[in-house]
Amino acid sequence: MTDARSTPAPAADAPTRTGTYVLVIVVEVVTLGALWWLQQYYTL
Amino acid sequence: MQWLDWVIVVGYLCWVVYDGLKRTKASTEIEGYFLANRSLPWWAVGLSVMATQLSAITMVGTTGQGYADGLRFVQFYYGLPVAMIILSLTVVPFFHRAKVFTAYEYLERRFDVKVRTLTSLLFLLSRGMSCGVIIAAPAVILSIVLGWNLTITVLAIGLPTAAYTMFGGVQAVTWTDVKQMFLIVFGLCAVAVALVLGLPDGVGFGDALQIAGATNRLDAFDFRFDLNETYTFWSGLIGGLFLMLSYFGCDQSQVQRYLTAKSIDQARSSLLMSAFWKIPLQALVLLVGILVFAFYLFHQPPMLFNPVHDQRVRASARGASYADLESEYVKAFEARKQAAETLVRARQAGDESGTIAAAAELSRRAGDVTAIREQAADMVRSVSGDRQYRDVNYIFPTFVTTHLPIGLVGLLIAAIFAAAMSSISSELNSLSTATVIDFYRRHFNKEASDDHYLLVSKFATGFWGVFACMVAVYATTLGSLIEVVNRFGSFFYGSILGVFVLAILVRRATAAGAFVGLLGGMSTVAWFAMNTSVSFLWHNVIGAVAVVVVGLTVSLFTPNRQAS
Repeated sequence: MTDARSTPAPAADAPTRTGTYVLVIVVEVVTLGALWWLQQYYTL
Repeated sequence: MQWLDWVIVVGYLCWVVYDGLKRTKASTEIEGYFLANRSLPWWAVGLSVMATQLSAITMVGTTGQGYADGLRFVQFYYGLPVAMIILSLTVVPFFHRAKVFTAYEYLERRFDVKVRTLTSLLFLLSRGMSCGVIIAAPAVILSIVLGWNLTITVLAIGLPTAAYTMFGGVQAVTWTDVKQMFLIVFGLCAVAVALVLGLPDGVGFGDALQIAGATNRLDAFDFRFDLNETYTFWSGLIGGLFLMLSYFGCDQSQVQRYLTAKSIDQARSSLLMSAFWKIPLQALVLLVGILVFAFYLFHQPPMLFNPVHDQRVRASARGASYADLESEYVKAFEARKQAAETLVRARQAGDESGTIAAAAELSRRAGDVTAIREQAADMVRSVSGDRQYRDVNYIFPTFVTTHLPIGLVGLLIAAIFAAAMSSISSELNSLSTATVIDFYRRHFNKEASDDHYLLVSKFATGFWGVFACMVAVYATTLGSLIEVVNRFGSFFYGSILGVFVLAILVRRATAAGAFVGLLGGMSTVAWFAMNTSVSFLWHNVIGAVAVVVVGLTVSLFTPNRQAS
């Protein structure tokens, strides 16, 4: 059994996915940017 | 509803039960029944995660919020993508490597059985009740709008879901979730197209957005740092982050989804699907509500969308005042319609100053209509004695049943059913898992055969299905339904998150510290809820912080199991 008291280390079968996490943040920024543009453009 | 709509709704119900039941043979032992033998692909798990979160309350309540408040509610989800990254890095590998059935099972390994039992009990209480609310929400609305019997509507949603979840286990839950998710998104896109096509000649999608902007319905950012405001950028980013960490990381109804994934990497991908798509999807749902608002600027809607007390008010001593209010409403509607038409003409003519003046006039006229509707709702509350009377949740179903073409009505009603069932099935499945794994197998019968546990699991699923239907029948007089569910969860969510933070990140934390910290966190949240007007999203932050502070303090004075 895993030592549940230790902080989890990256598992051997799992890539770190750093690029995907960065992409998630980029997509969120772009999405919020689109919403911000919508608010600014159509609010008189 | 016409015959074709009935065929679609009944056909959907029969198909979903058949589709779920055919998974029965894939669930012949308890690991298969609860975790699909950890074999499911990321995209199916990811869609199941999203379908679980997107309930019928989202379909009817959020579209109503879009109509009344515009995009404001989307701020609630701003913390979600960051939460998914944090969970992908922490609890996902942790739970997978620990090979647990429930999130709470891990707490016994880290702390002791008391902490596990208390958190699992809190989950059973909050999810058991919320499952009833999730059934009640669409049932109440559909029964009033379509004139259906309330109890039969509750049973039509609850019993088929309980049946396929009971026999098909998590395989049935996941694969029906996938199909239900497609049906929901297709239904929302179809109604959005129907709304744009239903606008008057000469009024386009851009004009509808201009109308929405003029009435502040495109405000997706409120940067005020006000703890009493429910939906602001900061409450969504910080309070929402804590809520999503707790919901996706510590709530068995979601944890169980990604425990079924083939690997840690596939589990991460399934969560990250929500990180990419949740905000756009939620914006789409709210946009549908905004388009309903634009549509009703040109087509007169009823003064109040919830007709439940209509006859009673008209027959009362204040019936004449109510009729006068209706006459005022018709005039205010006409004035608002003219203001909208003026705005569209000015915009299309490229008249900038005229557009600005028309937008200000539309905003005033829309305010007049809102004020009359509020007066009418107050009158209904006063005459009926129903203090919880609201009509925001009735806007979308009223539009669907009165303005959509034959066939599309049935499709949307089926989509509302699908949204309800996809959430309920995951919750029944997880309630059964926690009942059997954390209580029955842990405390009452540790050495039984796999067949025995499988049988008990099916009975537990059936029990929770019946329990949820019973709660649903009685949970019929709640206010804004989506807030009720979230408020209820916020009493526990932050505190449970605090316990997991202690477990995973604080090596010095002890079992006594975690247990006392959990009680301290819940007490703190209860105090804030009863004595302050701090918005419920912040309760998640307060609960988590209180648990960590109290838990750490107590841990300093109690022996560490690891050290001992």
